[in-house]
Amino acid sequence: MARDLPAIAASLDRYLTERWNRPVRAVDLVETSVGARRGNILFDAVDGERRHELVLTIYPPAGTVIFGVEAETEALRLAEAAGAPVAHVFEVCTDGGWFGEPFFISSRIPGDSLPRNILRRVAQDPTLGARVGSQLGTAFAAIHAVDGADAPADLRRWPLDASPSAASLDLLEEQLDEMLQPAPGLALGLRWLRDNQPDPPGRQRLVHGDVRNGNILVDGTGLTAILDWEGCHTGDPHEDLGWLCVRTWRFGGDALEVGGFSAREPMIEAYQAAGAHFDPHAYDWWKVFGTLRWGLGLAKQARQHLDGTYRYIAMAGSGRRVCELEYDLLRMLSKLL
Amino acid sequence: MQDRPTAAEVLVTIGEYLDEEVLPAVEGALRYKTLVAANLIKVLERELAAGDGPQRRERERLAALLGVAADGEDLTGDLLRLNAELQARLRAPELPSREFLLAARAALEASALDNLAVNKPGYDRYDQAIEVD
Repeated sequence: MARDLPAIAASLDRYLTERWNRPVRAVDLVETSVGARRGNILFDAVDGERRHELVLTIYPPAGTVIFGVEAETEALRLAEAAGAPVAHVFEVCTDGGWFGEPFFISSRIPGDSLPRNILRRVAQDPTLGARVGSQLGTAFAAIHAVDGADAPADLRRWPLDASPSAASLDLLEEQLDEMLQPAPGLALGLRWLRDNQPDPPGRQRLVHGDVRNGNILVDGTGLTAILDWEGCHTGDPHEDLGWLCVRTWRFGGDALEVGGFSAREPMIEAYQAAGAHFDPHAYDWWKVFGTLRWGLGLAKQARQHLDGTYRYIAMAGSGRRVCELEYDLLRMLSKLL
Repeated sequence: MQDRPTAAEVLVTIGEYLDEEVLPAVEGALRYKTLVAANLIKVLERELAAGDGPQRRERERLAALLGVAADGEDLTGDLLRLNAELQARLRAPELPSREFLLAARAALEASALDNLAVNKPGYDRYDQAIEVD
């Protein structure tokens, strides 16, 4: 259901006028991803002679989020301070009186986020894909430079001295238990992951958790921002590298591991050049993990459709995509077993 | 005998209607959902054409792998039972032999390929040479 944009504009006028202590008007509101539980509304704030290009992010109802708006925006600030391309946070508010739920207001960054638009840009500019791959490596190095101990406590999914791989596997085991039918192909992946865990990172780091083609902004110059920090946590940095390179996020550009637009090498070279540590086994392990994670995620979508939690035809379709992830997993295991 | 059109003919008819009349007329979220629906119709067409051959082959592979007999009337029940048995063995605390893991992987890949032939034909064309070292 679309949101009531005129009412949101009126609330923004009052909020920004009060906060900035001068008359401000919110205009040209556009809701992206209409119907999503998390609201993202683009708008311009008219501030005297100036116009600020901004984004209002309204949180989903409490109980459906892992942590609050303060933790997420603090992670954004840490990532920005470390040099990662992210939106700048201007306002954070936990008061549900304005828009029903807590929200934050951040800078609006130019670029495309739709994967097919990004792949179209890359097809038109032969240097763009590898450049974005390299920029992602540099951005990851910045994010992963943030020590887990400095991240907000709410972002710790497990104790800082725990093994991220073991703790992450426990979460997948639970999801496998919840499946509507046995899935031995996914169970085999879990078995391999359990028996071949990488050495834990020396220290846990800030991990975004969902960087993929679809959660990045790209324009003609290259990568402009990394979006959607709602799943960030402390953990093993290789989780981010492996997840980005899961085949699903290539949208048909299979031979280019990074989002279908770049080979792995430009990303890893930039990552290491920026001082980050890369372990090939940990990379393979987290890529297998990411493939299994998304296979279970698709099965969960189908389950939520079938049990009536969230009746939506695209989530029914997700159930028939589990075999894609299972197949990718089994092909990787043909080399790894 | 059911009257014509057959189930396969009904699916083709719905698919044509979605492709030729509905899709050109819708946009945004509705277009996306219609694309999903049109794709699912084609999945069902292929599933119907494949018959129960894939399930029978899956049952044979799993029974051979697990060393049990399974050849009754209840194909779906057998498949649920055999897949649950294999999953339990793969999740047991004791490490299965490498030979068993390799045989299980090969059997599961064969079934995944049969599922892909229905759900996403051509997905297996990519050779995956670069994926892991």
